[in-house]
Order: sequence, then C-alpha cells, then structure tokens
Amino acid sequence: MSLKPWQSVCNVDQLEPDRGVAVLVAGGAKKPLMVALFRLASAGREYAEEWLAVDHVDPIAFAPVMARGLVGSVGSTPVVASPVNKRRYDLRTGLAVDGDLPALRSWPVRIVGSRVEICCSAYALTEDALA
Amino acid sequence: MGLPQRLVVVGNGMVGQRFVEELLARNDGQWTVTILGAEAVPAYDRVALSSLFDGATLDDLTLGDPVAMQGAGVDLQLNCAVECIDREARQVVTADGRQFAYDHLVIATGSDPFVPPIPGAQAAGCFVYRTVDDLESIRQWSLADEVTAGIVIGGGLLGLEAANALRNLGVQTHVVEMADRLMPQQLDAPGAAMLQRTVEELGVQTHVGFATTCIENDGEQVTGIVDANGATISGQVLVFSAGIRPRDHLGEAAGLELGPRGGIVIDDRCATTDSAVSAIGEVACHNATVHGLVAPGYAMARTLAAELTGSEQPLTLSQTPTKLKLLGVDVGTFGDSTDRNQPADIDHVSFVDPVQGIYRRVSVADGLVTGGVCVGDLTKFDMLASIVGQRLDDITVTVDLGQLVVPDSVAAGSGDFELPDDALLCSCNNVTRADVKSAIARGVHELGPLVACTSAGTGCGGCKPDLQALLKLELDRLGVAADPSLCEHFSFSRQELFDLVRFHRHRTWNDVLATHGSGRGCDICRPAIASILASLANGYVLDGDQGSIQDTNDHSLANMQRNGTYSVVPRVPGGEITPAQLIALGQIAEDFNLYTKITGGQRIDLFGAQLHELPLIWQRVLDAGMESGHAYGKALRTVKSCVGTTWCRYGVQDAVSMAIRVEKRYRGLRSPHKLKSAVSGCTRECAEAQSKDFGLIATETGWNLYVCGNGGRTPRHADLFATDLTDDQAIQYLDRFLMFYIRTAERLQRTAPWFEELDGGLDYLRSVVVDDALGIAAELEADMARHIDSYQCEWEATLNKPDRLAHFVEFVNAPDDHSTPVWITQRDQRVPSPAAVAT
Repeated sequence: MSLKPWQSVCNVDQLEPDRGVAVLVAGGAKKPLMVALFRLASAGREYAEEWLAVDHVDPIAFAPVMARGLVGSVGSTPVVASPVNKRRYDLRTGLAVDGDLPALRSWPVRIVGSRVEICCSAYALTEDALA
Repeated sequence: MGLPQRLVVVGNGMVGQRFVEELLARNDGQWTVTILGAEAVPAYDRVALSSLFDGATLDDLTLGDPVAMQGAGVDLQLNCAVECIDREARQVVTADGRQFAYDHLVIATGSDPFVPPIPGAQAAGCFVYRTVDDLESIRQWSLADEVTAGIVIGGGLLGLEAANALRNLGVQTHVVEMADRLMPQQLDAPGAAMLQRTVEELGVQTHVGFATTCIENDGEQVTGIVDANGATISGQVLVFSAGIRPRDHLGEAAGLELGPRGGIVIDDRCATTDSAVSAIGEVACHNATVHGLVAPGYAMARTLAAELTGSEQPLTLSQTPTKLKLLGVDVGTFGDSTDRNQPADIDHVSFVDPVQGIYRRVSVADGLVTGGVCVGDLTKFDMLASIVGQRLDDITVTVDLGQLVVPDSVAAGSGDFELPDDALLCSCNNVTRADVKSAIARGVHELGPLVACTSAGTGCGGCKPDLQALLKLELDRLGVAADPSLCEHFSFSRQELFDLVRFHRHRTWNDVLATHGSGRGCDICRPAIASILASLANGYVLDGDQGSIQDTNDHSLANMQRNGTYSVVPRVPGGEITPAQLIALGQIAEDFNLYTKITGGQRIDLFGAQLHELPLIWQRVLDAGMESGHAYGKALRTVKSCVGTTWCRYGVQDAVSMAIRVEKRYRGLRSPHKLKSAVSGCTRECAEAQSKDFGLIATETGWNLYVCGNGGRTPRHADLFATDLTDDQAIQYLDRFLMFYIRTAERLQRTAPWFEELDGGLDYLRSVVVDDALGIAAELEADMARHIDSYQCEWEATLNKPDRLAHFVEFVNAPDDHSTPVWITQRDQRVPSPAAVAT
C-alpha cells in the first residue's frame, strides 16, 4: 500500500481564523479518517498563528463534531472544547485537559504554499486499521 | 527577500529596549540588530528606580530577556558610548574608537537631567537622579552620619520619585517646587493640593512657590538652600529633578534638524530629516513637543518597529492617559488634564474627599469631555479616559458623568463598617450576624444556600442586601473572595465587560481581547463577548471575526443534538400557525426524514438535519413564509399565549395579538441567557405566564406584568411587577426591564437568579424601570429601539449571501461526502441509535 504521508487537504483560505473545519484523509482502513483541522489566529505578541489537527470524532459522545468546537487557551495550551459536552482537549497532543479521559489523536500539519497538508504516520494508520 | 540589513540602535534605555522587542516580534530575518548602550548594565525600569532603596534589586528592574535577545541574534554592546554619527559613510563611531556600519540607525539616547543655573550647584553632595549609578552615588553619600536631611529641587513626577528614594534612605526629605503646586504639568490646583496633603502625611515636607536662588555650602559640601524671600531649608544631600533635556547632541552634530526647545525632529513615522535615521523616546521631538513619559516613547517604539517591518502604524500621541504611583499615591491624568487649551467657562464634574485623600475631576467644554485628573483613587479610570473627545449626548456614549466620577468605594454605598455579632440581621426570623457568620465559616459560601440554612431573608426579604454584604465581607476575610472574573482570560465580570464594550464601542472580538483580555480566550468568554456584541446591535452575528466566538449552535444557526445532527425550529409567534404553514413544515420533515415534535413553547421542532442540509431546509421554511426561531441562541425564544378573547368564553383581553406583538418586538434579542415569555387572556392563566422570565396576564382594564419567573430545575413564581397597564405601557416597561437585565446580569444567569441577587429586590427594580431612579430609562429604550430597527431573520440574511454558506459543508475537501449517523426507528420516526458510533 502506498500511502503518501503528507496529504494535501485544502487551501489555507478555506479556514477562518480560530475556527475549525473537518476534512477526510485517506487512512489505512477502508473508510477515510475524519480529521478536525484548526487555524489558530495570532494574538498580540504572545501567540503566533498555529495550524493543528486532531480526530474529528468526539471520543466520549462518538459524534463527528470536534471541528465545530470553540477554540481557546488554558494557560499557554491551545485547546478545543467539544460542542457536545464541553470537554476540552489540548490541540497539540489531543489529551483531555479536564482529567483522565479518553484522548483524541493529534496529527502533524504543515503549510506548503497556499495548501494545508496533514501527515498520517504509519503508526497511527496501523492503529486505525486495527480499530 | 534580500540579505539582512544592518540596524544599529544607539541607547539601551526603556524605549530603545521596547523598540528592539517590538521589532523582534515582527522581524522576519530582514534585520540584524546591534544595540550600543552607554551604561554598564542592560536596560532597566527607570521609572521604578526608587524601589532600589525599598528592597528591589537591579535584577528585579531589568527589562527584557538577555538570553532570548541573544538567541534572536541581537548584539548588545554595553559600556559603549557613541562619539559621533557619520551619515555619509552610514556608520557610528564609539568613544573607544570602534565603528559600526548601519543601513538604518535608531537614536534612542533619551534625556539628561536639567541642572538649573543656580550659584553653588557644583558643591559636593549635589546629585542628579537618572541612572542606577546616580542612585548608588546618592546612597553612598547619604550613608554618612552627618547627612540627616535631604532636598529635592523640583516637585514634578521625577522629583517626587527622587523624594521617595531619599525617604527610603531614612533622610528627612524636603521637596521644593517653583510653581504654586506639585506636578504643575499634569495636575490642577485642587488635585495637586490633595497630593501634597497625602505626601506630607507620609513625612515628606513640601514647599511650593519656592524659587531657589542659592545653594549654600560650608566651603565643600552642600548645607542648604535659600529662596528669593530669604527663606532657608537645610539639607546635606541635594537632588536636582527640575526637568529633562533631550540628549540630542549626536543628532545635532550630525546636522539633523532639532526642535525649538531641542530634541531631534521626527515625523509620524519616527523618521528624522535623514530617512536612514530615526529617533524615538525622550530624544525625539514630535509636533514641536518632547514627551517626557514612557508611554509616548513606547508608542514611538511600536510605530518604528512596524515601519521597519513593512507595515504602517502612524504615530498618534494626543491624550495618552497616564497612571502613576507616586509615594504610594495613585495619580492619573487624561486628555487636557490641566484645562490648558480650554475656554474659561469650562465645566467641572468633581468629587473631593479630603479625609481619604481622593480628588477626581472631569472637564466638559461644549458637551465634549476634554480631560481630567484622579488623585488617590483610580477606579473607573480607564472608562473615564476612554470618553475623552466624545460628545456626552451621543446616543452610544450617554453616560452619567457623576456616576463615573464618584469612586467605587463611595458608589457602593454603606461601606464596610462592622456591627456587633449579636446584632440582628433578619428581624423576621430572629437571625443574628453571628448565626450567619458561623454558617459561612462552616462552608456555606453562596447566597441561596445561606438563605436556606439560616432562614435569614425568607420573611420580608428586606435584609437580603445586608446578608449579601456580610457574605462578601466574610468571604474576603476567609480569603475565598468570590472572584467575579469571567474566566482566566478576562478579569472582569460580564456586567463590567458589557459596560466596557459599550463605552469603547468595540465591534470585534479581537478588539475586546486585545484591549481587556489575555490569551486566546475560551468557550466561556468567547460566547459571552459574542452575546454582548450582539445585544448592542452589531449586525449579522457571523460577520467579521464574530464567527470565531459564536457557540456551535449560533455558528450553525441550529441546535446540535447528541449525535452531531441538528434541530430546526421556525418561529411561530404566539403559537399561532396557519394550516398551510403546518402542511409545509410537515412536507419538509417528510422530505428530509426529520423527527417532529411539538415543543413546550408552542412551536414545532424538526430533528435530525445534517450540517449540509440546514440551508436547504431553511430555504423551504422561508419559502413557506416563516423565519428563524432563534432556538439556537441565548435569545428570546417564544411567547406562548392562550386564545384569549378571540375564542375563549372567559377571555378579557386579546392575548394572541399581544403575544405576537411582544414576540415580534423582541425576536432575535441576544441576552445573558435564553428568555421565555407568555401572555394569558384572563386570570385562569392557561399560558402559564407566571413561570416565565416575563409574562402578561389580562385584567378587565389592561395587563398585569410579572417578571423573573422560571420553570426548569429551580422553579420560581414570577413577581407581580405592575398592574393594569395599557398595551403601550407594558411594552415600555418591558423594553426597560429586558435591557436592564441584559446589561447587568452575569453570564448564563436567567432572570430569576439575577433577581434573587439584585440588591433592593422588587422595590429597586421598580424604581429603575418605572421611576427611572438611575436616569437610564431613555438609554435602555434607545438600546432596545436600535435592536428592533436592526433586526433581521438570521437565516434570510445567511441565504441571501452565498459566501455565508461556506461553512455549511461537512468536509471541506469532499463537499459531497457526509458522515452517516446510525439511526433506528421508534414509533414510526427516525431517532439516533442509543449507542451509536458515526462512520
């Protein structure tokens, strides 16, 4: 199977700052992965623009909604709040902020010219295939 | 991008340092930076110098992070005074003969203290007050036993700082000022008098109108001063703080243009007469003025950093508000604080409390706020400063100046004086203050539970404000003060933020966050600010950057359900619906396979729509002559009604018409929480108006108005607010009531708990709404009128502009693919599978 590690998903300008979109990414399984992609706006001198991606499916409600959550920060950690149950996840690691709860997987993102690319590592793909 | 250009900054003071930080934050590799500082230490906070004698170390005062600067490639040369600038060769030469070539040069050499030409000024024991070295010299000198008294010449900002330094050294301190008052540049006479009084109470002796003519000495060392009238003050150490002069000699020698009283002339981009040379801070002269405070210097630093990195941010320095702490006394000035450029017949709104040492004044000329002064209390200072230059009768800034001028400590009323523990707090139930205190000590820290466990306030309710005040007092004492902050990003309550947004006329989230908040915000403050902006009639709720702060439901203009699909609720004003509309809704539900249910608010809820289906469904709803029901927003939901006189044998008023009028008037009104209402056509109350946020019940002659009821988790019967109102009276009171609630409630606080916490209860609410005791009724009505005028159906506004439909796509890279929720069928309708995983 020849999966490209970096997959081009959309144009930079398809994302509003501080809002997410959902994208489909080819995974190891038959069905594509649903990934929530976020573009965090730069804010003052403190924060630079950041592109981050995590699973789109809420790990507790099992609904494909994470991309529609509100973003923000806890301390200096960028987070997204699930729109179903308000639980917050670290956008860099996917870990739950509010205690020992199921986590999201996080995916590397890079900008190439005007395109956004998401990386699905072999490990993550295998895990998905096994799931 | 070409090779990096060489930037040389002469001077490593506060402004030079800030400039480099601002530049590094924007620099994209186009500049390599070299800083040449004359002092032996890196930039430090000069304003706080006197704290070195009060326990602080130089490390505490050091600005910036030397390691980070090094990491960013900044070359910081200390002990490196510049001898001259060679503009032709584009290089500077240092005192030790080194040469630094530049593509762009920034002069930030600041200023020198001005030593007035007074005979005897050269005596030993006379100092200036500018650098760490100056302070060290003053300290060494003052250690000697014979130094018991000290004199500061100059009663301005720096003079008072110097006085603080001497005082901290344990020297009996005198401040002499030639003008008739302290801080003559910033303060008016009463403000200066208040400051003088407080400063004297701290043990610093002040002498105004004292023109020093001679400095006396014993042949070597200073012994005192004499003024024109022959008065003498003795002192063994003397500090000059009689103003500053720009250190512009480098610019002068290099042939740059200087201002009328010195300073290198710069334009709005901080450029000197040589476009390769800029000047910032106290060495610069902008619009014929040299600015001696740090804030204008920082503004120049920002402008120049932007300019050099390709963006424009022209300099505006007028009316920079200034907040200072002098000898522990808060002093704030804004606008034309001394009325220097104002007509003689200017009006003053002022507050004076000599006992507490508070003086606050705002000047008004021709209906325009021109400036003001605060001494001893800076509450609401930012708000005062923000209305400078605004017309007081402007509908968007209508403010009661008196309210702003009175300090919070006074406006809050009773103060914090303490009654004995055995004093009765609630006479209805015989509850003492001691009873309440012990309950609080046991951990009852909220008003509701406190009422429940002590019974205080359950009789006539008159003691509720006292109860609340005591609770606050005790919590403060226990160190668990109820923090009114909205969240970690805003240290304001919602009410304070509402006022700030209103006064500053903010229109964007970024504006609000940058001005009043920190971090990136969160799922608490973003929707709260979104609601405030919307309540102030800010246009389409997803325009500008508002899209990024709307809760999921507001963002998709529909209610998300547990499986990620949405429900659709059209408005059915008063619960009245035509058969054709019913059929249309039924047809839409069938076509999109939507689960259908009648709601508690006499509407129809259609469940199970996917994100991409929402625009298609709403187009059909609009085509059937219906509009958005705002079920997705913290907004007016529904106004229920019974059929009233139209059909009912018992009805005494036309409840349906009134309900429709009320619902259409307030539709779309965003508020701290959802708003529900009902109108009943007679006293049988079939519409259940007494369980709503506001309700009308018909009487023979008009309407009884009920407010602040609630169903839900904590049911509360609404209070009878006013009786036998005409239609128009009821509407007027409702306009005022709703806007007052929107302004003052906390986030997600329904009207019932808001009312429970309102000091003064029903009487107070009546006095505001009916008697206009706060004088804001016209304002509240105007705010409501603006909302009504700007109302638009949000779905119509969305469907009319194709670019607003972009986010109604589930996967941006596969617009035709959709996730497939797992459905089951229950009682002939489609519902989510109880244990579903979407695929």
